[in-house]
Amino acid sequence: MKDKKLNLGINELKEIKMTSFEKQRVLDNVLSISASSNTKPIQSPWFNYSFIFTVKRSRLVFYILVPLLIILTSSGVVFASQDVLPDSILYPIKVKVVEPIEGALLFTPKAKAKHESDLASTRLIEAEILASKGKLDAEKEKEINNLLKNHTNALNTALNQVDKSKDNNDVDDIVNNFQDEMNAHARVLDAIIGNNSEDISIGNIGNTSDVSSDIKVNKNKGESFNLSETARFGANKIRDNQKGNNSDNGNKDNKDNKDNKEKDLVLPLMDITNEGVSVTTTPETKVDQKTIGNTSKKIDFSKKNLQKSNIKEKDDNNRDFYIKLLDSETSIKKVDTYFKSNFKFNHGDDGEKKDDN
Amino acid sequence: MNTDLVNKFEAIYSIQSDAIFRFCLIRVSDREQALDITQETFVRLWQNMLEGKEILNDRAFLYTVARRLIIDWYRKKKSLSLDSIVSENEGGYDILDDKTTVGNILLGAESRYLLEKINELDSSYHDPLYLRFVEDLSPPQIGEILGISANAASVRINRGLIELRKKTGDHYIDK
Repeated sequence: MKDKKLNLGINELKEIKMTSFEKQRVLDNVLSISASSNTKPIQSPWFNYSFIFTVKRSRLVFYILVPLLIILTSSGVVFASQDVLPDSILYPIKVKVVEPIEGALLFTPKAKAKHESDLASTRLIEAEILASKGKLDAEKEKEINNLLKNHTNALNTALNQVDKSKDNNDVDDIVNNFQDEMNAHARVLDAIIGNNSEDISIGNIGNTSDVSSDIKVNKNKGESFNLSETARFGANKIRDNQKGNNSDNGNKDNKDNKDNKEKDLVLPLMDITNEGVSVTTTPETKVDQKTIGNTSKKIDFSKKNLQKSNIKEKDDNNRDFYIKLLDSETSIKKVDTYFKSNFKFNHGDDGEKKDDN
Repeated sequence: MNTDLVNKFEAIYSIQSDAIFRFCLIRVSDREQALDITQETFVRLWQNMLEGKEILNDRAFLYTVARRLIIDWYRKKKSLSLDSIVSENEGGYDILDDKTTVGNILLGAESRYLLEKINELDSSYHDPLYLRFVEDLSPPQIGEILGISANAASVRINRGLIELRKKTGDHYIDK
């Protein structure tokens, strides 16, 4: 019977056994092991110097090491998020964690205002880079737009908290720089996207404290605000608000010093920009032609304002002299930023080299 | 030393020692090595008993430890296994007499044939089949030893049996 073969095989296997001698020897060996002679791993002679032992022995090292690891890990993410654009997954960390923390570490309203102004410029530069790569879609534009409004509001709040009697000159500088940056980057953005929208007239904007509410009101009236318009509108709003808040609380000597400083600033800037335009004699694209044309116009405008300011100075009309001087400075700063940015995006490194020359 | 504990251990040893030794010898094909692994298996049991740890199923514990020690041994030393020895003797079982030695194992013709065919099976089948038919363990006990559910052990036994019947052809009759 074939079935018997299987049982026979199984039974033969079951017959495999230890001999009685082997059995007794193994039993004796096992029972000779006492509880104290447990087979534990042999400790390395270097264990006392090992990293793990140090951590195990000292709680203090543990409490230092763990936060240090957390800090190193998180700082890696923070470092990686420094230069990211809105199309990166690290961008929310940059704008919602890193930048607010940086702002929270600034304790004076003046420093906060400067920080917010820089952030607003950064947002527009990010938009310019995205637009130059053709990645600025409606969703990203909306996101940057909202961030820009937030920065503008935060700047306005910070400026309102600055003690004008002490830091009036600094406030003016921040406001002027912000306005220049916003207008210049708005023009660059328009040139890249091809919007060709015109500046919003300064005189048409009312004097309200909340910038975003004004933007919403204008939207309701049917005017569409894109990123460059938001930038211009915010810049003008900040300037108007601060003009409204400023009173003539400085003495004449201070004003004269300030006026001379502004004047010293405008002339070299004008020369540098003019030099840049004259070096770039052969425009390669339509955008180049437009950039050079706009730059030249602005330089002329700035020169006219400077001449007017000189006339007003001779007439001893300090207020008008200062306004004209500011207009001149604003125009020349704006045109300088516009010129450099536009050539950078159109020509990359070559453009920068031309600017450097 | 606690006499009760020694008596308890000796009782377990007398029942299980041969089965564990057999399990080891069939896997490692070396009598001395099988004795070493068997001793180490019982040392682990004895240590656990001395430490007062509760062992719910002595047999499952011993097989699990033995199986892991065998795996460790194979990892440490690539020795000649029964598989390779059997496969070297291609052409079946050239029996000179009723008891032929394979490696150091003294085996009869039928047991050699059965082992050869079991070891030809997929690795997931030969342990369940061996434990079921040679050691008479139940599927829940096999599942506990192999770290699988009783249901999975039962499935492996049945599939292994089908595979074994395919390999043995008409050597064994179908039940």
